[in-house]
Amino acid sequence: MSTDLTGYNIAYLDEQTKRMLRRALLKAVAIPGFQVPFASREVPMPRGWGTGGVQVTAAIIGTGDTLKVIDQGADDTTNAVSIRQFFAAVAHASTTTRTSEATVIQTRHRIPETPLTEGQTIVYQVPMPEPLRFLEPRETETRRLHALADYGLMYVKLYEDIARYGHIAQTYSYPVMVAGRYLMSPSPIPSFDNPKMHQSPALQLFGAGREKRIYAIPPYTDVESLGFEDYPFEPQTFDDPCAICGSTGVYLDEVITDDKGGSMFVCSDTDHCEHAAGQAEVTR
Amino acid sequence: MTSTAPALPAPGFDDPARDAQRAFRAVLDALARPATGVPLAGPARPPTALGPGLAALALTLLDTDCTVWLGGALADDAATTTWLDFHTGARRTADPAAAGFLITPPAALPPLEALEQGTDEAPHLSATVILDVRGCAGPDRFTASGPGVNGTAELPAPWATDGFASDWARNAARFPRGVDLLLADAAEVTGLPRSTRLSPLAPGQED
Repeated sequence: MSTDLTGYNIAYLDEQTKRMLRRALLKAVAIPGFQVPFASREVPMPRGWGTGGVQVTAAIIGTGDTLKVIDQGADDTTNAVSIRQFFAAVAHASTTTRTSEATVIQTRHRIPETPLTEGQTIVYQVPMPEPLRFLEPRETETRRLHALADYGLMYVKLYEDIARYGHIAQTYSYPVMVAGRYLMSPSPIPSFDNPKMHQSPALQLFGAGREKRIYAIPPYTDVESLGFEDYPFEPQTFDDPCAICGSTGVYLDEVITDDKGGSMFVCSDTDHCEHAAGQAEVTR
Repeated sequence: MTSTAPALPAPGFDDPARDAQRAFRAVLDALARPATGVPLAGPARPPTALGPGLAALALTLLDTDCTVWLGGALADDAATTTWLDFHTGARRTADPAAAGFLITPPAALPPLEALEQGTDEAPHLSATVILDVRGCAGPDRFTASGPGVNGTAELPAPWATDGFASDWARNAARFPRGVDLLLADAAEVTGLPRSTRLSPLAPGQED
């Protein structure tokens, strides 16, 4: 792909749009977990494909950055490849699939297995930023509930899960409390990934393009997944190791292998899987 | 045009898009890691009264969507006002309570409660203060804690005026409403978001 796209500004968005996004990002960082409205622009992909994440990335990325993009943990899916190529072309950024080499990681629905470090920024694509939306459809009301820190509705929902199923039945988009003040949707990451957000050394930014909201968690910030004393938050666990690399304690995807009901469970994080499989090869 | 106004404002960033991106990352880093100084590169020939650090923040954050209040000598400095008008187009206001951004030396900073605080439903509409901390030499030091700080961090605060500590404590108590501070000298920016708590450290006392 050509790296010289005549007619486009660096990082695609015009400078005034970037300043608007940047001012929103600064306020988002100053008020951890609060959803800052912003004027979402059109970007060359359909809404729902990560336009919020792309706009946040465009506002922060520079030539000195190394970008990694994952879609459900995978670096090699269509959307991840397209977004990586997009920023290589319009922002002249380097790209990588290695988590440890990236300075900016844009993600859809996963946090990498490799622990993030200081100096890294992770940008989440968010379809539905409002954790209370399915409990209270009116935006005017949810804003007021956040203003009053009135999150009883969410606790009732979790309680009803326990009453009906015997446990909290939310396995993704599991609500969190940020810095003890704001209820926040972690985007549809599996609850397996929720503990990685707590006191993370990396800066976490969230962009919802269709819903026009930006929010953030600064590094070293308390992120508590909701629960009750007798029914505490329990992240998902997996009994078997990855069928390819043998890793345990990682998030696994089920892959169908034939039309007779056969399947195997493999790492969702392709970079981690490749690396671990390579290591296993060396030791063998 | 009066004879005291410069004919042409000094240039802004050499490379507006890339330089603004670098400066923004410095500010974002500074606010995300409060009490840590982050290097900040400014334009080569900024107005003297602003210096490169403050000039970089103005070019990066301000545009025609913003209102700005200038404190102290800055308000009357024609080179600064002409430069800001030309490069940012931000509306200047004489009322600090009406400003989204305030650029001021510490001595001219109004009490924080007099500034725009945002509302409980829209706390992001609060003011951002860009504090000119060049040449400050006060004895104050603070211990900072809160989101973005790994445990606690020591913050030398030569810029702190009498009463700043209590003013800041009241600002933090208004959370989620409240004012955010960017402390800028010629080549560095430090962030102090409203979520950061400061406790005074007596001179000579170790953290």
